[in-house]
Amino acid sequence: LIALALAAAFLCGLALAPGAGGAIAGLGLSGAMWSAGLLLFGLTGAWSDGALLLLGAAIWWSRGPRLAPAAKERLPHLLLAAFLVLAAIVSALFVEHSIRYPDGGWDARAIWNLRARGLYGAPDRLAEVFSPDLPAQHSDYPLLLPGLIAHFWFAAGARAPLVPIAISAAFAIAGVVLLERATSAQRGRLTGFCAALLLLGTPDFLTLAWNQYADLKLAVMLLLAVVLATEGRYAAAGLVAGLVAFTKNEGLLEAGALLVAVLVRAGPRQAARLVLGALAPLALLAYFKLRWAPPNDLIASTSLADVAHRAPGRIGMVGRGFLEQLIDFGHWGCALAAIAAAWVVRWPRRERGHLAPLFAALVLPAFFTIYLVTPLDVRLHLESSLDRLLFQLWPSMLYACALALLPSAPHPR
Amino acid sequence: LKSRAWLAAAALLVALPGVLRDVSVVFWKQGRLVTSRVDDRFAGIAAKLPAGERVGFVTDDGPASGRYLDVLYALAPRIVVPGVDARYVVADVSDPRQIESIAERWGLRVVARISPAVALLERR
Repeated sequence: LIALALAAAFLCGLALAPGAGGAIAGLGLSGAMWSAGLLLFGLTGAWSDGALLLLGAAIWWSRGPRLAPAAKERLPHLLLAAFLVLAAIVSALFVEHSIRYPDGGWDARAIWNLRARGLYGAPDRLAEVFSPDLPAQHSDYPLLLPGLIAHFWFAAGARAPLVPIAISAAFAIAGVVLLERATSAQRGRLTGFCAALLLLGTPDFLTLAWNQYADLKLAVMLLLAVVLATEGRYAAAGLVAGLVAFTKNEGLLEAGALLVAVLVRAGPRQAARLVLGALAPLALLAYFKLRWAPPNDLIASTSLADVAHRAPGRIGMVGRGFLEQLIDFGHWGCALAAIAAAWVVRWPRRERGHLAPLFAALVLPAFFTIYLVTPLDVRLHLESSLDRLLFQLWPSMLYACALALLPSAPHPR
Repeated sequence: LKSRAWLAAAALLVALPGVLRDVSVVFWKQGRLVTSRVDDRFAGIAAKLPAGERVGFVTDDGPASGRYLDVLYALAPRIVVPGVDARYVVADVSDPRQIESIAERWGLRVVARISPAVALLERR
């Protein structure tokens, strides 16, 4: 059953996108499809894998398989060696920490793996799994990640701690490879490896991976949606953006920003294709929110009058919070500051008209607004979540920077 | 080509401190490699509880300690709510001597002592 679940996920994903992008899309689709079966029909078996195989076959039949183009540009040996050494170090640290703490970090135990345990242990008592009596456990959060974990637990026949660890590792590895391949395809292999190097060297990348948080999964799915939209595959981008919205609440905001970016860069016809692609996961999200999820604690405790009262006085504090991240993104990471400096230096010579930078530029003010209106203590809210929110955008920002700030690589002879 | 070499050098320079930070966290701050599983601390409690029954939780520690979260996680999908209103209550304390006094204070009795700091209590 594990082999069937993996085969279904990857075959369906590879029909949508080549290589690592296919793996990411496949895992996301697997989690969403299984969740749909449970929420709509109370099913927990391998039916969702059969449905994924059918979906994948339909896409392959209509469009043909998506194969990754072969890279031709040669890399400097030193860069390749440095990349491999850093990747080996990060992988070893991931394994070491996962042996030490197999249950993951705080949010994994409080939200994602806890919910997965609920879905696995009480699939016939969903009202208890989404109980409003546990507000700190955010029972309203979407189900893609818990659904994916529970799906593989059912396939394994046991609540194996290896499952969430392996899922985290798969998304992390696929995210680095996707960033490298997508950037290489646009700006040459050297630039692609540099982008992947920066992602590997961001401390939050490893922290979110070994803590088994949803932010890393969301970040790489968001990158895939942006890459697909950049390549003009709007319906596929919409489907993946819908999966992003079904991963975390803020994913809906990010999917909305991608829609606006496509609308501005490609026009209403392509934006409509994006919306069509996103319809199925968004419908599932709407059903979950309306039928099962308790009210969101932030929205439930916010009123327009409160927002109008507190937002103006917070602009300075929230601005400082963002500036602090610029200096210390992801704890000791200096990549965000370097990227910001690159934007300042190369601003006059930037390549205009790209979708990815516009997308990032739309999401950042939206993140800023979240902290202006939050009913929580804004300082604590910033400290506990801003680095993770920015990380969700980080792979897409690296991709956007490569496109806008670095000229196209000369064609290899 | 020269600018591309600079790009590679700059990327490496920016990435290196982050990876070094990761290394420092693991090798200088974490200590000996020991697996720490939340389920092990509460092993056997779930089997002693009636199916589907809500469980209470009590501790002598603050919310930041994460003790409530650990019980909730270990007993999932069972719902655990802070307080002593339920028939069964899990106690997870920082000072093991507190278990008996907590039980006494709230009219509970110790059903099972899982470890010095963890016990399952039942209303008398």
